[in-house]
Amino acid sequence: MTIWRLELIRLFRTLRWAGLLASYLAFGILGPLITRYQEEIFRSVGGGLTIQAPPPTPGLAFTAYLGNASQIGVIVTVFIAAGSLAFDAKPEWAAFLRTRARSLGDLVVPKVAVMTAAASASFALGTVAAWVGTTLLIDDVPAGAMLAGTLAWTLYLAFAVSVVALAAGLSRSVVGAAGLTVVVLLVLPVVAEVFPAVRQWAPSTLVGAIVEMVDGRSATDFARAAAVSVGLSAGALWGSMRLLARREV
Amino acid sequence: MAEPVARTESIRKVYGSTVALDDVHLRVEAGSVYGLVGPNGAGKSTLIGLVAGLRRPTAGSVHLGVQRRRMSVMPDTPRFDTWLTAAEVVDLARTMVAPELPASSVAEALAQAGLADVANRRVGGFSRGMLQRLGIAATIVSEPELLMFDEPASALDPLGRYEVLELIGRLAQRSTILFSSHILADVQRVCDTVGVLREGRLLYQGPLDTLLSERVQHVYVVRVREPVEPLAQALAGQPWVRETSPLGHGRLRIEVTSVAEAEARVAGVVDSVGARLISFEPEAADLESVFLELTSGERPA
Repeated sequence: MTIWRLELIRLFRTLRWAGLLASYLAFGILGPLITRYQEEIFRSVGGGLTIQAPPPTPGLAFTAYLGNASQIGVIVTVFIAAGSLAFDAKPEWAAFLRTRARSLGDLVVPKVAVMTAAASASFALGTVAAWVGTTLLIDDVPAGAMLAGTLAWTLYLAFAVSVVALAAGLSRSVVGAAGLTVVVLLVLPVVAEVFPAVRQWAPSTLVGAIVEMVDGRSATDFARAAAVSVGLSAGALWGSMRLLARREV
Repeated sequence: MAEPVARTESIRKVYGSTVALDDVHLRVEAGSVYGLVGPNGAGKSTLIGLVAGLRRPTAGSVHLGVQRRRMSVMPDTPRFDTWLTAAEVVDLARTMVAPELPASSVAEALAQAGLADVANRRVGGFSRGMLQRLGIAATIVSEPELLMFDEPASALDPLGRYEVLELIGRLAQRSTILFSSHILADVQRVCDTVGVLREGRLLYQGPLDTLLSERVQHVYVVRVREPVEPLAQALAGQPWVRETSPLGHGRLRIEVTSVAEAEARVAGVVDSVGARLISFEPEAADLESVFLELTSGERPA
């Protein structure tokens, strides 16, 4: 039993995997469906009102999917990650782990890696569902955009989970760590909107990469945001270990 | 003199305005079973946390004579992720600290802690006593040189406590042990060294035998066939007897001014009143009375 296996068991025995999968896969299925049939849906619930929806496009289908994934999916990811990374919330368990690990990195890195991998896999499955649904119901979607966009999201999820690790160094509680992370993830896109020069560097730009690439933008347009995400993730991990090392249990 | 397995130098720990530990010079010698006793809030858990590296001293320093990885600590109320089985918890402890040990050491540790039958049960359903046993199994599985237990038997029933103390006694053959307890009989049963903490100060530290013998009062208990009153009156008239008090069932407690005179003359006094002597022995000092004596005084300077 290693920390890596501990984290995998945590995912599967506590049904956290189901929460992750559901939060991405459900929206991956619903996004193209709702986009394709939104006029019919509006008509059936509109009570006689005529609502004109824009014609369904792959870009709109993925906007619907990513809009939910980037909110509900990411929040679920953040809370599940906080449940693992805020191990100091239970001092006795923290004492067990801290007195046995060679370094805090031995604890934090596997937790961040397993959580990022699980969230990315769930997102990838959701994306496949959205891709298949969009292709069947609306139009073809370029595979390159899908792959590059999924990779961009993986980097964003790694960034989000690393911020959870940093927040767990600031707050002992699961809710505190998750709450801090959600605030950071909410503030970032606002900053990017207020300061357009920041936008191409902000990790939050990666969230919409799939849609923009479906609409024709190049993957290299997101290279700066990807590089910044990697750098900030590494910095957050380093900061997390520094903060955790300073904490008394 | 060999380097102690663990020692602290003038250690001080302050939480806000509360002084948890003050000028503590702990010294745990290799091979000893060191019992840390003290009332609630004396600083026992804080001191163990400092030695374990889970807390940092406000002043002073901690020195270990063993590698930190060769040391293992069990908190007073162990808690684990509830969805793990007992075997997985112990195996995690083994893998993190001593992966070179065979997997069979997990089953051995669980058996030693009395949990062999529930090895594959999830710990979410464990009682507090079972969690304490699991904490012990996870602590001993890596065969550390220094074992630290914070109140290891506090949640156990009498039989469980007996078994845990027996286990600690066996572990002492291969490891140095530091454990805290407020159950003084437990400390007296297994420890050879004792440290008495009160209000963050170490009032006494040294061999348990020395602590007890230094505080042996000049008190004897004589037991005769009843009636005991004639003997009590005769002894009360002796110049070397300070006080007598009947204890019931033919027993009489005698406080004397001179051990030598008491040992030389008690038998003669018994004989002089025609009493039939069953036993005559010094009243043993126990840790509880010594502890009360040590901790009931004014706060030391």
